[in-house]
Formats: sequence, structure tokens, C-alpha cells
Amino acid sequence: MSYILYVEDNASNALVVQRICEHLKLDLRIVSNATDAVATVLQAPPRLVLMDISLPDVDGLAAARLIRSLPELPTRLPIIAITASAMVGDRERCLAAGCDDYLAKPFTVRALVEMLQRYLLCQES
Amino acid sequence: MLESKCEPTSWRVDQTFMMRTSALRSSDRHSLADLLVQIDSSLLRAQNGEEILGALHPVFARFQPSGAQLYFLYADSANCPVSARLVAIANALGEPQSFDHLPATTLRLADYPFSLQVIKQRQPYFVENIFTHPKADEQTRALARLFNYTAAIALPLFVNERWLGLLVLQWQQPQVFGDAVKIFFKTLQSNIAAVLAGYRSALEREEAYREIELLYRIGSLVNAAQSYADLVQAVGQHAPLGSFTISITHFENYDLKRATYAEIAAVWGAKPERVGTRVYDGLPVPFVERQVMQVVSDTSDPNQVTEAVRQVMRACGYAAYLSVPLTFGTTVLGALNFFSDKPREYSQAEQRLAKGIADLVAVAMDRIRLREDSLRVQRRTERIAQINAALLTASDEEQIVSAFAEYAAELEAECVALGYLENSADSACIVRVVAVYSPQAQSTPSVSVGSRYEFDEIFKQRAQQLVLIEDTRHDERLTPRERALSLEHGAQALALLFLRSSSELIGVLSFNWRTTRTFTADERAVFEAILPSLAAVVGRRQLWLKQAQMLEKLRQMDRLKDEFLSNMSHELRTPLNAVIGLSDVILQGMDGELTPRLQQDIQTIYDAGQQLLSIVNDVLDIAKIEAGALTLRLEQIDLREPLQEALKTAHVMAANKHLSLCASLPDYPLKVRADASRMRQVALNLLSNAIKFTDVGHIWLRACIQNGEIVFCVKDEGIGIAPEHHALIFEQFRQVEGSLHRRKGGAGLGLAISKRLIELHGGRIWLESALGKGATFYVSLPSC
Repeated sequence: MSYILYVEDNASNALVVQRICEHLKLDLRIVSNATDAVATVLQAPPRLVLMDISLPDVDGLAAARLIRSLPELPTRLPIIAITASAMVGDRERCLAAGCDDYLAKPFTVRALVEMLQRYLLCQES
Repeated sequence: MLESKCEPTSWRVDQTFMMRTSALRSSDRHSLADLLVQIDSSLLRAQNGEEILGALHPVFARFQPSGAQLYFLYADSANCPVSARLVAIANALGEPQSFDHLPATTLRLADYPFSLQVIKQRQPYFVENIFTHPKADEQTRALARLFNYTAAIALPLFVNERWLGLLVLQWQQPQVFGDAVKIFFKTLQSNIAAVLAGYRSALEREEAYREIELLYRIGSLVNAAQSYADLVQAVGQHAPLGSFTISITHFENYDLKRATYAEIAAVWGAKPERVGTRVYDGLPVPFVERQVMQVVSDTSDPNQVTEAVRQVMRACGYAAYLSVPLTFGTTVLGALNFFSDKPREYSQAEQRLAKGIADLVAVAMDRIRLREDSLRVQRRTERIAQINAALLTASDEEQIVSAFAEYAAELEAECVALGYLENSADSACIVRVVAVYSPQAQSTPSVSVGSRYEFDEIFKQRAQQLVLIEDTRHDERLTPRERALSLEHGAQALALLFLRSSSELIGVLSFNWRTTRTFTADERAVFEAILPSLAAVVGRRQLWLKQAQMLEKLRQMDRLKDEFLSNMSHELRTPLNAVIGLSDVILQGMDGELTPRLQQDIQTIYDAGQQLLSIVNDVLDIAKIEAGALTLRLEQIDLREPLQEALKTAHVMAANKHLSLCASLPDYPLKVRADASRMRQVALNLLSNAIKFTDVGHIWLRACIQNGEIVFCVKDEGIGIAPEHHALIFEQFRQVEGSLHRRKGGAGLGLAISKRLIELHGGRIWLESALGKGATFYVSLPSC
């Protein structure tokens, strides 16, 4: 079973997702910038990408666009934006950049679990 | 003195004369007396100059001169002889010949100082040998050589102080004139003068008659004249007075106190000048002030004209002129000018004629002036109206300069440039070109948009609004810097319109010409007339630009504020995510079993995190509403749906406090045009407030259509609110009674946000409550 990639530069935020994934017995890899994210995706395609938008090198939107443009990926890779940008229009911007869904921080355990389930179950079926 | 040489009372015979002239005997005295009688009888019959000389035949027989000339003399107003005209000559045989049919040979006596001196003596003047004569100058001797004479007798002719003529007898050989001869000629002098007086009176009567006839002819032409050109043509054809150019100058709006300038209205003759040219600019025009004729016989004579006039006249090639004021009533309309290319005297008769013509011309000129004035005023008014109309619709600088397109083409301007004064901290005066119009499409204008020019302080402080520079090289109103700048751009003439807004200089419109030019009164008038509207249009435009600039600044500030809000939101949510997320992880048992004590503590952290999040959301909402940045997603919805969603959340909250929450929604849709999420937010806020302030009892939510409006209300049985606080609670950061503030928590923003949101939807929010009696909050929305 393939892994879940979480692109997040904030360690305490990463810890929240890490704990939930441990509980769900999901393989999670965390990278802290967009460059590493793309490199990781190219190396071995993950099942799903959780993408923070505010990143130190290029923003998550650009990273999402870049991943979407990679010809090497065999199947459609779900990208879920997880961001503290929760103003009007932020959701639309993420979807326009190629993300499949959007989760605003702070999120509850339930919200993330539901989100993961939706996309992972979709793949299994 | 010469008089000392002759003794008029003596009849003594000159010895030398007797010796040389064998025909003379002791009876010579009688012979000379007989000669006088003989001459007198012929003289009395003489009708003209030729006959007068013919009557002198006995003199020729007796004294054998080599020739004789008879001149008419003309005097100036001070009765000083100024010119002489040759009317008849006689040869050595005394045969006369008239000169009247030949072109008038008028001599300026100023050119012959010796002759003038001789004439002024009034006595017969005897020159025995001009080459040894002590008074004769070299010029006279040169003439004597040319005309081949050595001795001469000159008889100035006058009656009662009035100058009539001059008779000159000449001999090739030197002569000696005795007393008897002198007495003889003295007598002859007065006799000829008397005859000449009669002849000249007859001539003058004839001349006067001709003059009247001429004036009559000119008068009829002048009366029929339709233009100044017709006027000057009539004068030139019939009474040129030997001129090679005749002009009429026109003093429109002539004001002695302001400037001395006149315009050439019409020209006749060999040297046409441009009609409309300004003359006498800055020069004294004495006859205008004194209203007298100006007669200048020689424009190179410093005694007659000033240096400035001399220069102008030299440039035009005018050697002499007669300038007659054209007066109508007390108004000086202009002047009639006769210009000669050679120095010449103007006789009394010519001056009289010129005055007579001027009187006729003035009357006609007044008539034509009125007609031409009204035509010109009409053209001018049309031009001003056209420019003003174009200015009125101009909405930018390009269109402002284009309003002058036709006028610039008419004036053959090189370009029209509009410059704005730049605001600067120091006193520097910088003008930035904002628009340029060039009537010549193919050539690049000398000024380009965006250029900046620095001027001296005086540029701003010029009192006049309109400055017309006819020659940038010599105009003293330009500072050296401005002159250099003009020449650098090849501008030799400029029309500068200084635009002011409440006396502050805001810009300048400049017409540029590559050649020097003269501005007519009409052009000046057009510029002056359009100045106020141009200044107003430019002022309005600048105000608009300033407002647009301010608006842009405000927009930028708004963007910054939005950016700030977005950043704040992001920065607050990021740590909250860890707080809420991790406490949730622990509460879900993901980190292992929890003791009841730990469960309670973590739950508190989780609740506090949620509370903080809702405050963050509220503060951001308020900030967005304040900034006007809150956008509603208005769509037609059924209000029951957001109400039910709010109820779902509120049920959990109510259950936690063991309160009963009852809802009564109609079974028909409540159609409103609203943002569903905001409606849910308002309902949830009212419900959570009700739950917050109620410890025991019921809470109701009801909704219905009332008087065409959709109304919903939330009723509780809580502590209630005193009527005096009803208005206050909708303000930001308000919770009634400071002491309760901490107890119930919350930032006090919920109601303020709800109120704004409802108002943004075009609805109202209000409450009914009394202290201790619970409260009911109502919301009404327009239905659709």
C-alpha cells in the first residue's frame, strides 16, 4: 500500500496529521517545502497529497499546478489543500490550482478523517 | 553784410561798368530808366513765367547775360522758404521757354545753403565772380562749373513778406556791377515781384479750383468705397502726392495710456506691406496725441524724426512722409500716410489737399469701420464659441489641446502645447508638458509630451494672463532662460496663456511659431475670451486627476487592509490548528487511554481553542464589514434550510445545558434573496446567545411570513435586558452590565455582526425584552 504525502512546514501542524494517520494506520511522509514535495512525488507516486499553501519556497498552489502537469503520473493523484487561509475566495483559488478539495485550519479530527476516507475509499473501490 | 556793398539811394554810375560797356554813355542813367519803363510795359502784360522772362528781353540786349531762370518759392508754416520750383528759363538771346509742362522740378533749399542764405537776405544779390566770392561754398562753385557761369544776379521775389519766387541771371565771364546797375535791378526786383504776385494768385485760384474738383472726385469714390482697400485705392489713383506707397493705419481700441500701436488696414502702391501688421509698436505717435499732421521731408534728418522712427523708415525705404490723422468727431480712427522713396518737401497746397482727403476718408472710414467691426466681431465670436464648445466636452488633456486645432491651423502655429505646473516642495517652477497638438501632421512638433521645463520664479508670478511674444529674440518680458529655451525649440513667436485657479498658477497653454509674427487685435481678443473657460476646464481636469489619484490611494489602502486581514487570519489559525487538532487527537483516545481528570482538562483546552477560533472569525467579520470588504453570495434560498442547520448545532449546545429548544417552522418555503451561510451564522448567534443567557427554561425559534416580510424570532427565558440597553447591545464589544461580561464569555461581537449582516440583506433586527423577563430577538427580511 502506497503512502500519503503531507507538505507542511509547521512542525506542530504536522504533528496533528501525523497522530491521526498513526491512529488510522496510514503511511505518512512529511516534507517541508514544495521542491521536496515534487521530488518525492516523482520518486514514488503517493496515494494522496495533503498540501499546505503557505510554504517557504514556492506556494502550495504552484506546487499543486506543477504536480498536475507531471506527465509521468499514471492515475489521477488526489491533492487536498490544508490551509489557514480561510478568507473569501481562498477555497476557489485552491480548486482552480488543481486541488481536489480544501480543508481550512483549524480543523477537527473528524473533518480530516472524513476527508481522508472519502478520497481513499474512492481509490479502493 | 552784403548790403554795405550797394547804396540803394545813390544814382552814381559805375565807372568800370561804363568802361566795359561801350554802349553806355553819360545818358546811361536815363537809358536805364527808359529800360525800366520799356520792361514794365511788357511785364504788365505777362501772364506766366515764360512771358515774365520774355519781358526781360531788353535786359538781355543791354547786359548780355548767358541765361536766366525763374523759380517759384514755397515757404513752410514759419514763412521760411523751403523749396523752389523752376517755372521758366531763358537762353543767352533772352528767348524764354516754359517749364510748366515738364515734371515739376522742385528743389529742396536745404540742399543749397548758399542760395537759401541769398534768398533770405531779400535784397538783390550780386556775385561778380563766384570762384572768388568769399561766401560761396564749394558746392555752389561746383554747380557754377557745371552750369558754366561765373557771375550772377539773384533777385528774391516777395510781396508783403510773402515769398513768391527767385529770378537768377547768369554770365559766363566775371562781371563788375556798378551802383547804377544795382539800383536798376533793385527796382526791377520789386516790379517783377508785383507781376509774379498777380500770376501766382491766379495760379492758386486755379489750383484751388482743381483741388476742389479733385476732392469732389475722390469724395464720390470714397463714399462708394466698401473697404479700406477701396479707400486707399481712390486716394492713390487721384492724388498720390508723388508717393510710392500710401497706407491707412487703423487704431482700433486705441488707448494712449496702454500702448501705442496701430494696424495697417490697407496699402496702395509700389511697396505693399502685409495688412494687419502692427506698426508704431512702442513708437511715439505725436500726431495721434496732438491730432496734427506730421510732415517729414527727410527721414534721415535727426531734427525731424526720432532714432526709432528713423530706423523703421529706413527699413521700409521711406525717405519722406506725410501722415494725416483721420479724425471723426473727437475720435482718432487712424492715419492716412503718404510715403516717398526720395526726400521731398510737401507744399502747403499738398498738405491742404492731404488734409481735405483725410477728412473725406475719415467719414468713410467710420462707416467701413462699423461694418468691418461687426463682421470681425461676428467671425471672432464664432471662433470663440467653437473653441469653447470643444473645451466644454474635452475630458482629457489631448482633447483640450485639440479644441484649438482649427484656430492653430488658421494662425499657422507650429504647435499648441499644454503644460501643468508641478507641485514641488522648493520654490522651483517646473512645467510638465501633458499634451501637444500640431496642425502639421507630418512634422514632429518641437515640444513633446512628458518633457519637463524648469523656469524662473517670475514665470509663476506674471501678472498678465496672456503674454504675446512677437519675437522671442528681442522681447524683454522673457527671462534669459526662457529666451534660450524658446530658441532651442525654434520658437520665434509665442502666445502664452497662463491658467490660474483661484489666483494660483496651475498651467500654461502655449502657441508656438517658428517665425516671428504680429498679433492682431482680433487674435488677442480671441485669446483673452477663451482664457477663463480654458482655465476652468483645466482646473476641473486637474481636480479630477487629483481625486482619481486619491481614489487609487484609497483602493491601495483597502488592498493593504485586506492583505493584513488575510495574513492575520492565517497567522492566528495556524497555531490554533495545533491546539484544537492535538487536543482533539487526545480526546479521541488516539494517544491512549485518558483519566477522567485528564479528559476534563484537555476538553477545556479544546473548548478554549474553539472559543478563540470563533472570536477570530468574529473579529475578521467585523473588520471586513467595516472595510466594506464583506461580500455576500446572494441567491434565492428557502430560509428554512439555514435555520435548520443552525438548529442542529444549537440542539447539541442546549442539550449540554439541559435546556429545551423548540422550533416552529412553516411547512411552506420562506423564499428570500440571501447568503445562506450568513443566515445560518445570524440564527446560530441568536440561538447561542439565548442558550448562553438562559440557565433554566425554554428557547423557541419561530419563523413566518408577516405583512409580506419574512420574520423569524428567537425567544428565551433568560435574564432579559433592560429597555435602556436595547440599542446598546447591537454595538461592537458590548455585553450588558460589565459584571456579566466575564461570566458569559464572548467578545460581544456576535450581535453587532448579526445586525450588519441583516442590514446588508436589506432587513432589520430588533428585540423585545425586560429585565428578568427573558428576551425575544426578531429578524425581518424582504421576501421575494
